[in-house]
Amino acid sequence: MPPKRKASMTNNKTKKPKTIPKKKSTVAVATHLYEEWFQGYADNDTDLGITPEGMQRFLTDMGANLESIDSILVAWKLSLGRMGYISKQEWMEAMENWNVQSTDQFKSMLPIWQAELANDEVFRQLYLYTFAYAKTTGQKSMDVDIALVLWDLLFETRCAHIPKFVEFIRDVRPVKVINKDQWSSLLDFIKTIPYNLEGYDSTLSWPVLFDDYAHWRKQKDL
Amino acid sequence: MNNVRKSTTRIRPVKRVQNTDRGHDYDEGFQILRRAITEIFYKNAKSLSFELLYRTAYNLTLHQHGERLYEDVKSVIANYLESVAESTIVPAFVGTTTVTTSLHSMEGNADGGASFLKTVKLLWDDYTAAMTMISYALYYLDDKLPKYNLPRVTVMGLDLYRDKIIRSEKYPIQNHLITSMLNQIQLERHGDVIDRSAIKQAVSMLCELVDPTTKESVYVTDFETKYLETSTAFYQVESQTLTTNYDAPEFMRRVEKRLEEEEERTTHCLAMVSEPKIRNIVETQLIANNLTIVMEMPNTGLEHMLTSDKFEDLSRMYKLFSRVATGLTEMKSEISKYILHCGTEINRRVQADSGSTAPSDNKQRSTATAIRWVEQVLVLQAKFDRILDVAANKDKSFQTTFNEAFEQFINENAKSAEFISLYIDENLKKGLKGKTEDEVDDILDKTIMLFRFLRDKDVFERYYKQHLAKRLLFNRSVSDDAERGMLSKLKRECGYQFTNKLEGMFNDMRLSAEMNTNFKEYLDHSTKEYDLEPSVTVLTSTFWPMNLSGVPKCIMPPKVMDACRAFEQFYFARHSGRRLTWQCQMGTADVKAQFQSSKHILNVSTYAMLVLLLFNDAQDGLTAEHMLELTSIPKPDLHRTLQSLACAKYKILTKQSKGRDIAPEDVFKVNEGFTANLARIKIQSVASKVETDTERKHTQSKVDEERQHQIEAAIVRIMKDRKQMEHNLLIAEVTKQLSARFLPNPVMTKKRIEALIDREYLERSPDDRRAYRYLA
Repeated sequence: MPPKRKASMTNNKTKKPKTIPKKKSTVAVATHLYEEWFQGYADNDTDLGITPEGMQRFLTDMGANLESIDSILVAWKLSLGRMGYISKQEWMEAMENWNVQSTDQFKSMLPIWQAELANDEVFRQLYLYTFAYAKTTGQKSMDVDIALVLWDLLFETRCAHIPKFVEFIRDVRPVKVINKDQWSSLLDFIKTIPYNLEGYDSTLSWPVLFDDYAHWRKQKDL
Repeated sequence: MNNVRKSTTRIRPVKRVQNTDRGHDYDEGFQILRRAITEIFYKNAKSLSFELLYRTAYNLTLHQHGERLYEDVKSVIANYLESVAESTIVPAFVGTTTVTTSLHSMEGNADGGASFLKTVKLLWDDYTAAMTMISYALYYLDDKLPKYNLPRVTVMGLDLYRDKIIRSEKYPIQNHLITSMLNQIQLERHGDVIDRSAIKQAVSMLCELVDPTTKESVYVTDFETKYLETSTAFYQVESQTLTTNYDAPEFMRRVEKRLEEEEERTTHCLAMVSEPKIRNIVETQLIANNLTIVMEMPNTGLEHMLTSDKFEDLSRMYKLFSRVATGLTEMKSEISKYILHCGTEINRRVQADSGSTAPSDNKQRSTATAIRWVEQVLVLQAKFDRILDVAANKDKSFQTTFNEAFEQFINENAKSAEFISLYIDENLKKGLKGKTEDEVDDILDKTIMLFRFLRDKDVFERYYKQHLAKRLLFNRSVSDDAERGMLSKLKRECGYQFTNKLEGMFNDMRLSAEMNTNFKEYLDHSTKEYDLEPSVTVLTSTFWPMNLSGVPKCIMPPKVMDACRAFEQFYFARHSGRRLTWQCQMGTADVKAQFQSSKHILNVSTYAMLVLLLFNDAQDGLTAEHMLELTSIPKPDLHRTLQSLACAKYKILTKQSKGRDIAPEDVFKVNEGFTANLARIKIQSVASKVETDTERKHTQSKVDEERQHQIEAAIVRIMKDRKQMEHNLLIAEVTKQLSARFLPNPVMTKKRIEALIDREYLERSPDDRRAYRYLA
């Protein structure tokens, strides 16, 4: 189990994925199935359950593209707590929730989930979840390098700001970690401020990091 | 009683007078009146019977002929006026009808113009007198006129005069009249003497006539408009003339004269209704249009006046400029620029000074520079106080402008807080010696005034503390009263919090003095013998600006250690739960030194004492490096100590190498041949001076650290109170609350808000991105 976090930290789990009511009679059977399935991926040397290597296999089997947002999407839907790991308890709970019995069944759900992401609100939930999920557990903030990778991953080509923002951080290295406030504010920032930074003003309440970004853009005249 | 006959008396009706031919009566009556009127006009009224005229008019009016009479009278008068215009006025026309401005063509016309006016005036006088008489004669009719909706006879007379004479359509009387008047005025403006009564009479005549459409007097509609036009033209030219030919003070004097002249003329021969208008013209043309020109006149303009303290000229300028709307604003802005210029000069000189001197003299010079800076600013301030007083009539808005300018350039100098503190320091150490209480008060008050201008008061506080600490510990204050006086002034300015710690420092000194007395008694009663007389000052760490942790323990000789331990025993017996840390860098010691030919008592710093005592056991001298080992005094401090002992005025030690620099292998020996006049010598070592750049940075970082705490405290305080607040409002409120101490950098404030969000004191409001909420 990941170390105990402050109550507020668990806010990232803002929305639980939809649950499907389950029937009692099939519970016992399903449990057995789930366990077997779990063992297929688990790393037996540790008691952490599924470790990164097994995780990769699982994802690939599910048809998720490891280089894309899919891996995070799946983690979110399964309510996982730590990037790259699935504990037995998490596995059992998730599979029960989704009432999934086979790999194919699971596979078929992935496209539905992907489609849901078109909804801004759904995407926002995913984005906010990613912070707690992906940062090093025990720390309050996320390493800036991890953040950069994730942003590229999450946004891909969704937003013109992101590649520039990533470039800015790589270039200037203003911070070593990204805190929760900066992470969540970024989403609002992309939505509100146009790419050409029109109307942006450092007297607004955006975090100082964004002020520096705007300043850097203006200097480079990009 | 017998012969009474009864007679029948009959009452017969009254015989009525038959008035059949009313018209006939009218003509007869009117003839009388008409002849009479003419006689009156030709000044033959004496021959008339007033009673007859009155009766005639009365009868005619009574018989319902009033209106007809009125109209007929009117036409009689009108005819008269026309004839008299032709016969009397037109011949009196003079020259051309254009208003000339050239003197030559005017001169010839001058008298002619006046005489024309007089002619008109005569006519008017006669006419009004006649009209009065006529109206008396027609008194009964006059009374009844309102019934017919007709103006009274006198009014009718005035209107006729207006239309037939002044505004005559046949003859250009108006033109001549107005032109003559204007020409006369022009002549007077050019310096000639004219007959003012002529104009005055003409003006009063025009004032009595009323224009039917505007209901204003004919003076206003016919004369005044033209008058104002020509005056504007005149003063436009005058403006050019004055600005090209005269320097600023002379220009202003002449403008003043013109203003006086116009006012006088208006009072004496024009109507007062024109006064504000003509004044406005003069003010606009001569003053308002020339504000910048006058102020910027080379060699004599505002700058020169300010530099050379030309109070009279400045006063005149103030009075003149205050007449026009933008005058004072412009003047203020120019003065403000001047102050800024002077201030920047003063600042620049400081930079130049500190850059040019040799490094070794730098420290000495720079204190002097600081003092010089302060004195120059004080001189500048005194000057402008005087200007405000004498020239600007203590105008509050001027004071505000001056203050803003001072504030600006004082805060542009990054070292101003330090300089002011050094100035006070210097005064409290030496400068105030011998001055009376009032003089002392005066100097301190002036410094407080400068202090008010500082934006970053917390920086000043830091320096003041440092300097005060040194003064107190080395007993350099020239007067305790003065110190306390300064403190109470600061308290009045900034409140209790500011001076809290400073007062603590004073307190510590007092308590230490008491403690020392007790300690001495304690030593006297103790059994152990001590070679030295220790005197200890105990400082409460939070009050004093020391780096406690930064001072490594220096190695003291055993005798000194014994004394220290004795004190510790004594102290802990009295106070428990306290920790004592010995500060070697702040103490002093009196050392008895025996040289070859003389004995002296040397008053030195503790470090110097440690160094000197080493030589008791090292007759061959010591290297700097060795001394470093033996005493563990921090290297820069050791070097400074050695310099003060070997390279300063009194050379107690000899140094092997030349110059002030100290290399590790430099050998120092006691200067056996040392002599001096005084038995007791004070070796200076740690004086307050202007900081080096590294020291500045250090101080600045401490200040910034303190500020971050202050900002966070302010934010939490405000948010706790308001619960929710919008970003910009929060920043504004924080700035306001901290303004008494310093001006917070908005970026720093923003960063502090973010830090507080991270530490979960605040959160961003979920409804409004721009607002924050307090988290309990």
